[in-house]
Amino acid sequence: MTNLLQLSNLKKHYPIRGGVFQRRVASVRAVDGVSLTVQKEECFGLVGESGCGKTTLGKTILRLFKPDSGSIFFDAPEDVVEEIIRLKQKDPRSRRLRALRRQYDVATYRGVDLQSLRRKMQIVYQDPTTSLDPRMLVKDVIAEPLTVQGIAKGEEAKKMVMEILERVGMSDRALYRFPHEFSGGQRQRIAIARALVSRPKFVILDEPTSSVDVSVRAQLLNLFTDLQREFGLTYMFISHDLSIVECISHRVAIMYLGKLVEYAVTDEIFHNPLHPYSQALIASVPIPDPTRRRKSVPLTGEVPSPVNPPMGCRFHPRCPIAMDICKKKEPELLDAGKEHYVACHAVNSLTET
Amino acid sequence: MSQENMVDIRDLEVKFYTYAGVVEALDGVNLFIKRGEILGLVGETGCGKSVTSLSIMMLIPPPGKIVGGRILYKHGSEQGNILAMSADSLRRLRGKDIAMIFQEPRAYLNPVYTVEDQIGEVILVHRRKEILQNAVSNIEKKLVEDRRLVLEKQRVRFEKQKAGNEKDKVKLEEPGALLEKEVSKLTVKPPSNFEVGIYERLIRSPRSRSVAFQARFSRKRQFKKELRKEVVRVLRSVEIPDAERVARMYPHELSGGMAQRVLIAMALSCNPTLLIADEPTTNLDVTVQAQILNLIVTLKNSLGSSILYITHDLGVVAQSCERVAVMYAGNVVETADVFETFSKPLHPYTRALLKSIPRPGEPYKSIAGIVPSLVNPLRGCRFHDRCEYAMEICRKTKPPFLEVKPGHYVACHLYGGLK
Repeated sequence: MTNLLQLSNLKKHYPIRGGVFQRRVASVRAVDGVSLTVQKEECFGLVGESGCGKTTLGKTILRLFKPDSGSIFFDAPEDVVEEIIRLKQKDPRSRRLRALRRQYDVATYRGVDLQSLRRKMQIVYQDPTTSLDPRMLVKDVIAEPLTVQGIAKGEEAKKMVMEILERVGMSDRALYRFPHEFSGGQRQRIAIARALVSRPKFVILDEPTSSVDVSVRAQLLNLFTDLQREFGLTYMFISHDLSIVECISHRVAIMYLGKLVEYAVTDEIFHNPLHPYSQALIASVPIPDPTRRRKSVPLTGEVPSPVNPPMGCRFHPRCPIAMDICKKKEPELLDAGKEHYVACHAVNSLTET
Repeated sequence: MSQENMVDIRDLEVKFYTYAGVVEALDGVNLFIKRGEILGLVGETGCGKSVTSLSIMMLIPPPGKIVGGRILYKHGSEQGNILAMSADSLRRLRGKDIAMIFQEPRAYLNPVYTVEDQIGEVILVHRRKEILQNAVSNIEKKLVEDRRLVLEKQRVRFEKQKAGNEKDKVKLEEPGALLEKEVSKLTVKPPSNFEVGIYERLIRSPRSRSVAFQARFSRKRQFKKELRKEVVRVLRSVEIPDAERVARMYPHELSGGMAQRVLIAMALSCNPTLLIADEPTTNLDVTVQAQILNLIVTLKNSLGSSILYITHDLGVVAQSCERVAVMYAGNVVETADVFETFSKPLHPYTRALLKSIPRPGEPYKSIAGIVPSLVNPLRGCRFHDRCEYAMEICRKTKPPFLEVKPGHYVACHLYGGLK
């Protein structure tokens, strides 16, 4: 499998300004050093509680936010990626590095480069009521990316719009209506059509099913898998609903306070979670089976503020197996075998010995 | 109505008279809640779950109207039809005997008042008498304590004089004799007596104008202290850490889970006999959801209240409820024990709903078609156009809500009633 997307130590901090001169007094470390790879034509699940930085990560990948540091490689040759990462450590000021990054590192893209990149990357938002312009007809909503990107105009654009509408399971009667005339599920289909009309390779799905009902949710999930097969899409599926992620994703990453704590193949994560946070998170999901009732609460307390994350391992104040080292040293994301990456001192010390 | 049913809703019909037409939101809902149980009310958006719960509180907003049916509510040995109650007795019922928790905790907390003020208000409205009595008894306790202290002081002085100075023997008096003089001089502050008097009169005749006028000049310190103590106690009962500090916070300073706890505390502050929880965990994270669910179940066990738990998450229902009622397009289509609902569902809609839960390794099964509009609802069974077992009769007559097995009620023509 080849990589489509690779992130290397990506950081995005939001400034908190204060004082008379509005100087930066602190920062919210929304994404704080994330490295991961997304393979071609897979569905990569990103899971975490609210405020852990999953949406920020998604938007930073699309370059809707400018990252503070780190690199994003999209569809770049692997040897180039390796060279850039090597040069960054060894010789961060070299001219070669700068030239390579300008060409391949999405984090440094500007202007025209960015615009042509967005043709290949798209996003579907959580709430279609707010993500669709209420004053645009459905045909204009969907055709907008085509005109902005200069892909098609007029009749040609209309043909493409009708084609994609049919693919997402809606009739062309929808063309001359406004978004508010549709139900939540249909609106989400329009949002999907809009994302897919420019034929992107990579789509970020930011909680696309959390605002719809159970029965509609199943329809949308089926649609996602069908479209993926048909267009050869790569998804990043951001969600806090673990049961959906388990069904749709090939690989899953779990995020906590701006960092990845664990990532592996879906089966591994759900049946053999290694990080104590992942274990608690998976145990918290209510099982739709009254004969398997949970006896105790898996995790107490709440997520700390990302302005002042705890020293060392960010999970240690809530961790049931926290050790001394966890308070001092931040664990690295290491392979615990079978491409199962975990950032936990307890697990890592086991695999080392 | 059997002995143990606390709320019994019969053929409840609610209509909303809108410009688009008459929305038949509830079309003969039958539901009962037993004493001390958690009843899960499940259904898709717009099926009437929230309207049902609002009807129990008589809080249907206009243009909605309750056009038919009965809601029997049992309180102690009394029993009454909520729909026929006066506005005054309803006000006494709401918040005290029947309390409610909503989905969006922040939207239901007033942003300009502290947590303490908002919980305090509920307690003031429904438990003023109790708080006043506590205040009075605490002042009296303090007075008694003061007397005891003075007595003790005098005794010590008396002993000292007796032991040390034989010369002053003439001046020696027995302790108790001096007491009255000393106490009135030193410790008993007349305002406290005045305060007690006002509190006592407030308890006797809460609406008297002269008392209210006097109360303006009285020092309300003890009363406020008592109220604050009660608020903190209530906050502690919902497992809020550092309750004294949280009590002085404004809603925006609270996290989502904490705000929901505050709302639960507010609902439970008057020990309601029925708690209506309208999707209380939908906007929360799974780990916090697990905490809140656990809290609701433990509180139910300690207070012995009944809970009507409204949700669309079948996982939550399976984890915490004892019985389940499934709603579809303004009707309760099935009610049964939670184990029975999940293992042997009868109504085709319940079956389809259970199948639509995503399970890894299986294709997702959705229910074909969409939820019908309630402006011109289907005749007969409202589910018949999406039902795979639909028969001729389903298009014509509405299926009756029958008990097919003991405790298992279904509204479907496929099943005959219990003979």
